[in-house]
Amino acid sequence: MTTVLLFSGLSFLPASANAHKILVFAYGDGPAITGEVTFSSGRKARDVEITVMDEATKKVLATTKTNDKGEFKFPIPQEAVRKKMNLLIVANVGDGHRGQWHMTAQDYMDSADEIATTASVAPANAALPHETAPAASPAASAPVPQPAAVTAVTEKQIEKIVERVMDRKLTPVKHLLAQACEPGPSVSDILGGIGYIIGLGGIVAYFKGQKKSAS
Amino acid sequence: MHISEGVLSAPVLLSGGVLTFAGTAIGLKKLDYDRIMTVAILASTFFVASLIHVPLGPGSVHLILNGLLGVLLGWASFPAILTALLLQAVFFQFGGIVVLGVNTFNMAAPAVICYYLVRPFLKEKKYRAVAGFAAGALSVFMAGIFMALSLALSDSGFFSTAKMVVVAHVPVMIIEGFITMFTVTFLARVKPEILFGKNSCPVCR
Repeated sequence: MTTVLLFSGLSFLPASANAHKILVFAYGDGPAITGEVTFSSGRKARDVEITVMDEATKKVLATTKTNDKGEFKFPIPQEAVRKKMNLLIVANVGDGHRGQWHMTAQDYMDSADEIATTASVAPANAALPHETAPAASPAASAPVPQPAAVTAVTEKQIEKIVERVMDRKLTPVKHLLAQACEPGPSVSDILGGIGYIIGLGGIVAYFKGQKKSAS
Repeated sequence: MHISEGVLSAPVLLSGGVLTFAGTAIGLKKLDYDRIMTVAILASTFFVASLIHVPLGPGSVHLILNGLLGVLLGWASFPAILTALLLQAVFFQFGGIVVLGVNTFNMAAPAVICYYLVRPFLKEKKYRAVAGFAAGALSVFMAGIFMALSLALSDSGFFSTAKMVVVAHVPVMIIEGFITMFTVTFLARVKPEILFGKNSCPVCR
């Protein structure tokens, strides 16, 4: 009976119960910024409040919450794009745990730009083949600038496509890197810490011992 | 139990620092030469305890063991917990240097309170187990209350935070109650001088 009670009680536990710290990770993802919040133990942080601030002025630009998988997504604030702000994304669990992620303007401007340019390139690009095909055959006097224009566009297109694919492929790598930046305590750290404490005890004992023998 | 940096307001940080400084000063002053190594060993126990995760229900909990430190060390819990938390902040980025004062006070003050509340009962053999359990559970509960209080003083809504923190720590309270109970009864049998000090040891005298 008591165990049933105990475990039914446990399922209501805030997910943050006993983590040491929380990790925030975010990246520009098209017109939005996507990210996730995890506890240092690796569990996903559900239903955590996310505040997006301008790093310089600490002005709140947007707020959102993480979903069941600990992920969050919000459209890049227009104001931030206009002023090229560096963003500070803060996750506050409410029980004293807080994590943040710095995002420079460059990190999300790339993807924000992409949206702007693909929007303008797409129609031009659709019109191009029709335009170039008839233009190339009769106008023998000007075949040089036309292919140049075509390659310029396709190069840009390829670049965009490559960028998009790379973004997608690199996302897991970015995750790994973010995790690697915040490793858990290693055995050497733990042993080192114990050594420090015992050593400090030894130093105190030494000085107290000297005082004792002097008196 | 570790409050992160950037959550608390400056007055809370400052008063936490002052209180911890006072507690540490008293702890060092009262510290017996013979007990230095006991303090060091228990400080490293505390240091390691927060790294031990016990899988429970959907997540995992970690030990705090401030009750055990309290009944064994009394005021010396302050320097012991301060040292351990400092190293945790430096090595593992748990908590932080700025919040060190508040975090130390939140965990060490319950330890000292438990020392005065529970320790008299430890000498009686029939109350020893119950007293040990009470020390373990009570100190975690009080640490949760102190933590909620320091968050509430910086922000708002004491009761929601307190409920959240205390409910989350109910399993820890139970586990620590048992750990403290077994440690205390074991020490009383095997090494009573750690528990009672050399002079007041009822067995070895």
